Amino acid sequence: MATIAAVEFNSWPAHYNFPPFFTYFKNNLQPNRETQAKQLSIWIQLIKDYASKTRLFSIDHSHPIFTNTEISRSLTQEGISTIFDEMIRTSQGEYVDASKKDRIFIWWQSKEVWAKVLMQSAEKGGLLNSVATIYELLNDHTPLEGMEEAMLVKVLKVLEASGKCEVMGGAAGGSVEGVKFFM
Amino acid sequence: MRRRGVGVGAVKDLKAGQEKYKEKGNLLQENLIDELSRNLDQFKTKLEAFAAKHRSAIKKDAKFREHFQDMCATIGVDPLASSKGFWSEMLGMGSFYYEIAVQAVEVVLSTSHLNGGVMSLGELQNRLNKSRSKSLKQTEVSCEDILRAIKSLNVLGKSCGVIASGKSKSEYLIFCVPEELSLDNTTVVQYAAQSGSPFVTVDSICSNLGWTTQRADSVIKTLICEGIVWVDDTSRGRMYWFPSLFMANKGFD
Repeated sequence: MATIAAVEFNSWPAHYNFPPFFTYFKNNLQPNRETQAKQLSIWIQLIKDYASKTRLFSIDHSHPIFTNTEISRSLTQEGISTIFDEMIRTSQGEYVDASKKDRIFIWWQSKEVWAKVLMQSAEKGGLLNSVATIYELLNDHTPLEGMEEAMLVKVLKVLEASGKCEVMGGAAGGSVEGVKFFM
Repeated sequence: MRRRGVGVGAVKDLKAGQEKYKEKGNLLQENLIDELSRNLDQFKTKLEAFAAKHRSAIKKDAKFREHFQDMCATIGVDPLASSKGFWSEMLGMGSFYYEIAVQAVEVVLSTSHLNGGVMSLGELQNRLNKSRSKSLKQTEVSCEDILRAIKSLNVLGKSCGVIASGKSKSEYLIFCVPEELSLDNTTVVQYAAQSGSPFVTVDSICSNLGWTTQRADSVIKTLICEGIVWVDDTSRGRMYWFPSLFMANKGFD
């Protein structure tokens, strides 16, 4: 298994030890379209499972998951980019910086699902009709603990669009200061 | 004392004696054949009675079934041979194997996006029995049952079949592919299976099978297209891995 992480991740798919899993072949992963589709989908599922277990919210090309030292295989940069592109295409990923395209946020749950989780957590925490800071939402053992701030803002925007909260600050490139949840 | 040997009379006697022996010999032979026939008939009748009596055991127990098949083989009876007739009607053996064949093909096809429609017999048996156990009426099947069932699928031509992959009787690969697997293709799959490594290279094919590069390339191309191999691009050249051989015991899902 790849030499990673503080948190134990043990759900490696069988393919992780299968050398062709790491092949990027000319302009594609596997030359057989069906095989490539399967290869891509297993990689994406692995990234999501790994991310959700280890609370990883963004990833770039240098992450050790793309190398398996035990079988001496590594995905090339192009291979990793292909995976990222597919995650973005299917709304499971998003460029952190669209001009650089080197790192992506991992949406192992969709923004909409996160919004629901956040709302439930706000209710439970007695935050309705009061203002909470970003810090509070991302720390103190909330379900969103560890989420990158930029991602939280996107989740809040979803919630705001459905009228469940109001985001304070964040206008004209400023940072978001807090959020008010409505009953 | 009469002298033996010389004289016309002696010759005639000898000849008569030989005739008598021949007659007796023929008679014995005829008797023997008759007896054998009768024995066989009796045996067959007993076997049929046995089959009728133990029909449910034959259906439920793979080992029992195996012994029964062996007994049938010794008297030259193949319960699977005809779709009509006493055997299939009496035992329903025809439809039993047909059912297994259909299920086996379904399993192999359902994983074809992972292994190109090639699967080891052991893995197939595991998966088949897992899904059969979910339906209470269905019993466990043995590897021999599966082999028999697949072999009886002659109607499907060369799209479905078995490849001996090792020295022991139980080592087989089952394949079910949309395009007929040519002899060259099955040869390479078999070579890989018997080589002990789950991968091949063009070089290993050429040196072990004595082929030209072109011939090996052509097979590799087909195997890639069918998804039977996945490509592994390494700095030392390309290796072609068989998911069916790699995951023989691990269950790729």
